[in-house]
Amino acid sequence: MAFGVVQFPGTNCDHDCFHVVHDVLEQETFFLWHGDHALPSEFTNNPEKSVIILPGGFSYGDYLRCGSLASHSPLIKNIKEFAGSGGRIIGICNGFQILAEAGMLPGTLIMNTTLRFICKNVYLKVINNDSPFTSKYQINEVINMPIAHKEGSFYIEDEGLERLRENGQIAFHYCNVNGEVSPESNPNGSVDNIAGIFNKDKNVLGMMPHPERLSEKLFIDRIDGILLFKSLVTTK
Amino acid sequence: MNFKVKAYITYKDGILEPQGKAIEHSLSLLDIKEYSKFRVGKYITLNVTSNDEKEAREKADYICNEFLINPNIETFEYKIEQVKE
Repeated sequence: MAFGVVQFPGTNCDHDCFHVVHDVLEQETFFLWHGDHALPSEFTNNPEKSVIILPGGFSYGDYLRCGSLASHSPLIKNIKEFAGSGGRIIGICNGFQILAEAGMLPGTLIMNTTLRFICKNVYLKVINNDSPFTSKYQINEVINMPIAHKEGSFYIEDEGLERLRENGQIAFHYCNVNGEVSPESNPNGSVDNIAGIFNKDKNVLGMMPHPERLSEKLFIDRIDGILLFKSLVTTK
Repeated sequence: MNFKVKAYITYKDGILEPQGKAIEHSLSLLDIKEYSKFRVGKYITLNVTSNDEKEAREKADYICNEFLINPNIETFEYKIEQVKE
């Protein structure tokens, strides 16, 4: 399986993502430059067997709006076509913001209601494991993952939220260690405690937490993030 | 012809606007009560070339809608004036 990690000016989680899929999971991995006007043939010839990662960071310094300028990068046109052909895309943190600004996922990421940058481990409940990103998790499984953001509050209007629920597009809810989804377990004020969503076809995932930061046993034993990347590698 | 566009971008009503909220909180700590409902937005100026003002307005609408705002959460208005060559 071919993985591509897109680099925008200001992206800073690209090497972490590259390390997980290339060094830990030993997959063929490319860096993709945002200013290119085409994807390598490994992605266009076989979109359903390849994955593009939009990593976290501060693309264009978060200027104008987080992810807004990056969403107009030349390569985004090819990334949209790739998604249309069945290619899989995951946007992590700033990557999620870019996908939302590009209209590839519904909703908008706005400033945390606490008005603070939040950097901590949170608990997520897996809502839908019927996707190439979450197939290795159990439904309602409670997993642990770090967040690090100031503009990570997911906003969507009521009708949009209803559509997400009807279509099974909610991937993760913020919850507590017991899996209870409540305002107390919501770190940033996201509507319905939403931490990640799919598009309607479930080949595009956007999530604010960082799975790549819990994918290798370095200082801790719990590595819930690796299952997301393993799901991508193994799901047909 | 050259036109200058002065665009004001604000959050839609009902969306949490955090900087305005922070200003109100700061004033409340000083016990200043006469001011309220602060909403902080963006002021962006730009020049656009076009054949006439009508076309300039169409171009201003385009750049505001496609680049300068996120229509899910923001709205805009602008003033436009011809730049004397």
